[in-house]
Amino acid sequence: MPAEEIVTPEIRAMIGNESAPRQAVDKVTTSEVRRWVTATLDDSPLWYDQDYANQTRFGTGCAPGPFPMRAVGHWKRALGTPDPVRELDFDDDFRYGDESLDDPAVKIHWPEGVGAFHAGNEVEYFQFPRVGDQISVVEKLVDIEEKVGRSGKLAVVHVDYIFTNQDGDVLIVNHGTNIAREMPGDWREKRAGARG
Amino acid sequence: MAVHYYEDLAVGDEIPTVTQKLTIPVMQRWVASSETLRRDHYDAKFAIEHDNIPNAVMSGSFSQAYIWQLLFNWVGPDGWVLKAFQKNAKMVHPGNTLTFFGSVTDKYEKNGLGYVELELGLRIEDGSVAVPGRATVVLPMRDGRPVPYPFVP
Repeated sequence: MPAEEIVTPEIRAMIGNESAPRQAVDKVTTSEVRRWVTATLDDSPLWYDQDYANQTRFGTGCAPGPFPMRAVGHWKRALGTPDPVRELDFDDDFRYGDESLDDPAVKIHWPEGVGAFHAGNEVEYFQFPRVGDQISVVEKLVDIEEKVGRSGKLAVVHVDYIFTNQDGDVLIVNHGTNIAREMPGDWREKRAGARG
Repeated sequence: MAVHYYEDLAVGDEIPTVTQKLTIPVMQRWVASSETLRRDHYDAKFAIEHDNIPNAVMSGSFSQAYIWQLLFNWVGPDGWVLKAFQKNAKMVHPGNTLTFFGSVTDKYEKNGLGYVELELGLRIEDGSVAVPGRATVVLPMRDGRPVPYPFVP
C-alpha cells in the first residue's frame, strides 16, 4: 500500500537534530593506519617513511583523510560490550552494523513501505587524523526536501557528519545525502542498503 | 606523478589514469580493515542468492577511500584535497577492472592559492562510469605562499 506521506510531521520535526558525540572505540594506532593504507592500495611514503613525512608540512604519524569515517562506526565493537555478531543465524546479514548504537535524535523511522538509500556524499577535508588521536563524530540532520520523482513521492535527506579529534579540531565533514521513497512490496526481503 | 604548481594545469588537462583489477581478496582486505561486515561486500553466494545481484559488490566507502588516495597522491604533498564528491551510480563487482580518471573543469585563484575543480571517477571495462565524482583541490602558486595546513578555507 503506498505511503500517504513520506515525511511525516514527526520526521519533519527532527530537522536540525544532532546526535550526541560518539567516540571511536580505539585511539588511532599505527596498525590500523597500516591496514587502511594497504587496503586502499596506497603507495604514498607519507604513511610509513618518517624521513619523507618530516620533509612535508604534515609530519609523521598521519592517517589518510577519509580514515575517520570508518574509525567511528557501527561495526567496531568495544571490548566488554554485547556482541551482536555472535547472535547471527546462518542466513543473516550484518548490513547496518550494530543498530543499537544509533542515536534516536537522528534515527529516522520511515513509514511502512518507504526505503532509504545512500545517494552520494561530499567530504570536506581539513586535516589528517594522527596516531594517538581520539576521534569523535556528531551527526546532524541538516534538511529534508520533499519532492515528486518519476516513481512517486520521495524525500532527499541531508546529513552532516562532523569528525573531530580530542582537541575539538574538525578533521573532516561528510555531507551525506540519502533518498527515501516508496518501495515495491517485497523490497525488505530482497534488498536494502543505506549504509556501507 | 604529483602536480606541483597551480600554473602547471589548464582546463581540460587530464589526470593520469590508474588501473586496478577488483578481486575478492582486494575487496575483503577493505572489509577487514574497516570491519564493515555487510555480506554483499565479500560474500558472492549471499549477494546472488539473498540480494538478487550478480555478484559481490564493491563497498561505497571503499571506492571513496580509493579515489581519495589516488587524488591525494596526484596532488602531491604540497597541495591539498579540499572536497571530494562521489556517487555509486553502478555496482562494481569482482572481475571488473577499475580505471581512475579525471580532468580539470575549472581553475581560479583565491587568497593567493590555486583552486582546481575536477571531474573524475572510476570507469569499468565496458566504458561506463560506475562511480562518477568531482573534487576541489588546492595547489600552491609559483612564487606564492604554501598551502596552509591544517587547511581552513
